[in-house]
Amino acid sequence: MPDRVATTLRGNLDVVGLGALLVVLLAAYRHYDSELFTPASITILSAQFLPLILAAMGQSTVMLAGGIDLSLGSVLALAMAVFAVRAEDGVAVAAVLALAAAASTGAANGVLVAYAGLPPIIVTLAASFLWGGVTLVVLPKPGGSVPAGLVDAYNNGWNGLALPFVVIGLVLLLWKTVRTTRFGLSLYAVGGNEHGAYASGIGVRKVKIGAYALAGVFVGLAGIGLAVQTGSGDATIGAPYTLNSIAASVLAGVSFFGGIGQMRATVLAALLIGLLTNLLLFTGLSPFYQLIMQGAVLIVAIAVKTFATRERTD
Amino acid sequence: MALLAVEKVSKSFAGNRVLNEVSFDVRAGEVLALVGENGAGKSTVLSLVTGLLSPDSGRVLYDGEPLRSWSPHRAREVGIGSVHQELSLNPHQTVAENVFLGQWPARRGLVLRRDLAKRARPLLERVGLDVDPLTRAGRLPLGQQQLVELAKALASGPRLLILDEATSALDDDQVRSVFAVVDELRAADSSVIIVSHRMAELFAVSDRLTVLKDGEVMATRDRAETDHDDIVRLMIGRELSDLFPPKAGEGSPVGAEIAAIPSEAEIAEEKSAAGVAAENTIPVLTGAPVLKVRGLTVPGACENVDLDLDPGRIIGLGGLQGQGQRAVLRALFGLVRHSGRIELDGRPARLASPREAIRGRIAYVPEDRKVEGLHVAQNVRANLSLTNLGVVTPGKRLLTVDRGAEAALVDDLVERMRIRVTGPEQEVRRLSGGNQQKVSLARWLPSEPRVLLLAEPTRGIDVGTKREIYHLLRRLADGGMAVLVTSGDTMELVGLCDEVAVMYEGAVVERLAGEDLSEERLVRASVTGAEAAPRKGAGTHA
Amino acid sequence: MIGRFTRAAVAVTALGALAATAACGVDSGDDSSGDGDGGKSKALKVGWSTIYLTPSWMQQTDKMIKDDVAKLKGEGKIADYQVFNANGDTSQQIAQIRAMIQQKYDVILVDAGSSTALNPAMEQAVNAGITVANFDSLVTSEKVVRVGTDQKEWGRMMGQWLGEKLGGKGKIIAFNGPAGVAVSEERWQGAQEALKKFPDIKVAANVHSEYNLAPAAQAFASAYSANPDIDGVFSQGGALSAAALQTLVKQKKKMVPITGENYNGFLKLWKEQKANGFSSLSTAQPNYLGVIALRAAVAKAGGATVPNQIMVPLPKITDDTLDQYVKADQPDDSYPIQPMPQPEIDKLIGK
Repeated sequence: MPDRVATTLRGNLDVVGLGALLVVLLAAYRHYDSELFTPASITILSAQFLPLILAAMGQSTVMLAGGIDLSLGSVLALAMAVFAVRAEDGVAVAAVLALAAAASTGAANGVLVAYAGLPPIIVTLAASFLWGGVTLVVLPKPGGSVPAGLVDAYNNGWNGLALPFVVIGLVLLLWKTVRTTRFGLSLYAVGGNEHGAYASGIGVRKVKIGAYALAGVFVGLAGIGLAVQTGSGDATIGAPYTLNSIAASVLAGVSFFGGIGQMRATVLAALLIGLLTNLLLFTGLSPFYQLIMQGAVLIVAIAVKTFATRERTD
Repeated sequence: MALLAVEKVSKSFAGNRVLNEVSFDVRAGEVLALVGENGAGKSTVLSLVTGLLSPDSGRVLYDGEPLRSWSPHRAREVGIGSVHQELSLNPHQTVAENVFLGQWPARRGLVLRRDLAKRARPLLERVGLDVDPLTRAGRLPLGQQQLVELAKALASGPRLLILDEATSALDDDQVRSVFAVVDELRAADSSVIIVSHRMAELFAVSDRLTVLKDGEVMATRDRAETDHDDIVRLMIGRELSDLFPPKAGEGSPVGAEIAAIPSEAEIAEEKSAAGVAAENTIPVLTGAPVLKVRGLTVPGACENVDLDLDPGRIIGLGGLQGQGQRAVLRALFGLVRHSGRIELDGRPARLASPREAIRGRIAYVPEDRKVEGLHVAQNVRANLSLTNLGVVTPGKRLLTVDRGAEAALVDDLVERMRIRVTGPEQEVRRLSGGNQQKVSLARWLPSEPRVLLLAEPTRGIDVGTKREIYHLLRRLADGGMAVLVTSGDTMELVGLCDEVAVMYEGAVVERLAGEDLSEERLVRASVTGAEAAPRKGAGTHA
Repeated sequence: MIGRFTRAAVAVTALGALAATAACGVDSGDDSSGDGDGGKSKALKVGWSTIYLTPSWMQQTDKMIKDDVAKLKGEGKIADYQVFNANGDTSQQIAQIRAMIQQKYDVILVDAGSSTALNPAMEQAVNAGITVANFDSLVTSEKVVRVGTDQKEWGRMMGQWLGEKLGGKGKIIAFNGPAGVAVSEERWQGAQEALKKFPDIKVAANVHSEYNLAPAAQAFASAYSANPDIDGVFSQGGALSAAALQTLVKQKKKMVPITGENYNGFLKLWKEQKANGFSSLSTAQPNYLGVIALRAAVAKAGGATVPNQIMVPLPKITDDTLDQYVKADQPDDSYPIQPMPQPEIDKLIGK
């Protein structure tokens, strides 16, 4: 095998492994749902998976900088609520408001993490209650509404175009651009060796705040996606995304200690988790066994992945 | 005019005064060596210059201007570059990305990989490094990483370059490249501050030497007007021979059964006895080794290490930092998984956990006292009795501590070890480093260990306490204990140990004892180990 | 390096094998259900997506539906029945409904985790020709069959009874669920409407608590110590009522009327204290809501006309009928209920 191919493979072990697993899952999925590869199915599935994919990207962003965000679900719900409440006055304005809300709550998280000197896991746990409360103020009970045309276009395709797919592509492109900016490199630098980054003159605090704010943008998009998918807002719907996004990030090989990970892998991993839970729905297993299977598959996948990519340490 | 002037700078950490009115300056086009023992305050004072810390009092002038709102970012902006022993590279990013860490050249906001690599190449060449700029930094050996650090410091075209133990992991060729860079900078009227534990290097490259001891400047000398002995005397504040006790077979084993820190009078007595003893030749304790280690291997850290720990002898593990010394100690205490044959008193022993090691009467005083050794948030009493529950819960009164026995034990240890505390209830974190180390050691004494493992026993400790600890260790050895010490301080190893095994990349490459045990030989073996060392992985794996 | 590659290869293979086994292990089950689908032309494929399955109320509902499904299977009306538990994750419920659409279910039952978020998915199912029936926790969509109870009526009924019981005069404590929760607000609104008719009844304190025994007992005890002279308690949930009654019993105070729910712990205590003059009126969120939804959906899928909104009357448990409900041999945390007679169900679904 030519050296270059070997090097590329080695550098992308996560992506390759996840890709292989995805192929297996898709094959199994196709067994149950013969229409899987029709445009309609792809549209519906991507509509369903988009919020988790975006949420996982947000979580990965924060984890790359060496943090973690337990308030992700609350921020997602907040963006969803803001969008659903304002969507009738104009979708674009509502989207901007929702994104602004999510980005600024993200930035606020970042400020707390950077300046409080407390572990991010504590700070963001506290923040999750804070943003959860704010969301209830915005939308005390499920409601709001998203124009039916948009809901339909999102869920069933727009002129044969799977909008969620387009969004994923655009967001990945956005990430790729961010990665090649100074900020993007700083993000990895701070995650990889925070003290070293500081000693090299990088504004570590600014980078952290930026990372959380960027994560807020991803999570805000996830919230908007969920609002469009469900046609409404609901303050309680976001919570499960926190842990699912962490699971997807870890499965993608994003290090808990920061500095290591690829966004492509995160997208694949989120897709895998979504497909897996869906696949289990088709299997006819009893609900509790589905939960057991889901947990077992995740644990095995992560253990195997850790085993495969572990490097010698002293 | 001086490019950098440090004026009466003081700094304390948690009430511990680390710098006391330190003053020195660096002229343009000059190389200044900063020398001193570990813990003398060299790194602290340099951190003040690079903006990692700010002084409690005094000031630092750069280009005649006092530094204000100082930070690493500002320091880099005005042309201060630095390379520290502690690497600031991000192991997960590429060499090129690391060279420009924090100041990546961007075009329209975007940093292009190829562009970065192209710009990194001349800098890497300048430090004599021939690696692909797109390699991940973490994949390079330690020495090359340190050169990447140097390239990174050069990237911003520094007027003042700080080299803090920047050559510690380098081989001779690499050291030469570093010095070539230093000469280049000097020729260009830039300045360099250099810190190194290799005295010969300092004399080779510096113009002046400033000596620090216990946070104070002892003297600044022109290179031409001083010599090795003069500098060492200034560093330790006394003659070298006074710091260390006589070695096995040289001194008198009088009072060996009292494992306590000797008083000044006792030390003096021992010294004179040593003089007599030298003539009468007291027989060396020559029993079978307590701990016989063959082929000890910790995956990824050390390989095929053989050691014989005899009662009465102090063995040192030398070499550059991170060559597997720590792993050997941790393996022998059952803290890391290992393979190899270990015999305790001639019987095969399995040291799979600290519990088993302790049962075999092996004691371990770790390097990071706060993580592996002491419970710093608890008081002295709790720390001392925790490892000695057998003593303080007599009569099988399981679970309940006999307060009387505990108090007696604690008082005895505090007295014997001369631990300076306000009382047994004082929290360990309020103690000075030296006293913490004494507590860390003292907690093992009641169980009368046969083998004592110590990692960096005097790091960050003042010279007086160091002396006390050296004498205590010798007494313990004289009492029949086998002692194994790792240290990054070559002077300590040479002065204290009966034999030093030098490690390089996980293997023992040289054993020095008697006449051969000198700082020069030790340093040479440490850095040139590569030539002598068997290739990693060869031998044990088919 | 080679080691690392080998490991990676082993890893991917292992994962693949695992996923494949997961898929194969369930092949048979799905195939057999497929056969059933093809075999009997009229038999329906029914699925229930619920936001939770573990609480005891849900467990009882699950059992009741399963029993009824067995009956309908016997009659050849149902071919296959499947339960999906979203475990609190509303997004998961959307996925479940979508999966059921793709698998061509005929009937989908939904106990919703959100009153709005499931609307698009459920409406999509309706558009695909699937009969969707929603019960217990209701959604706002009007395109699906909704089977529920009137929570305002719940409060009204309790308020009315309490007013009459006290002869239109006295001091009471209002013991409500958490502030801001829709069910709690609606029940209290109903109660206030009813109590308006009794101007001499004064609400001495309005206490909020979770529907859980421990916090409820604490909340009530502090309100009661401030107002020991009350004549009655308007309580709107089983655990709340049990906590209030327990407090009176423990402190050996005079028994006053307390409204309640068919929470077995409360019913047991009620029965025990009846001799000491304790009196109550309780109602229930009946588990047979699920059965009614199932029957309605099956009827609709069979071509019958079924009302889109089915309000199920609230059962009444009084001092006289208490013995029919209370189950001494069952845990406190159960909700004993009398099954609804089939003719009444038929009437409700418009047969």
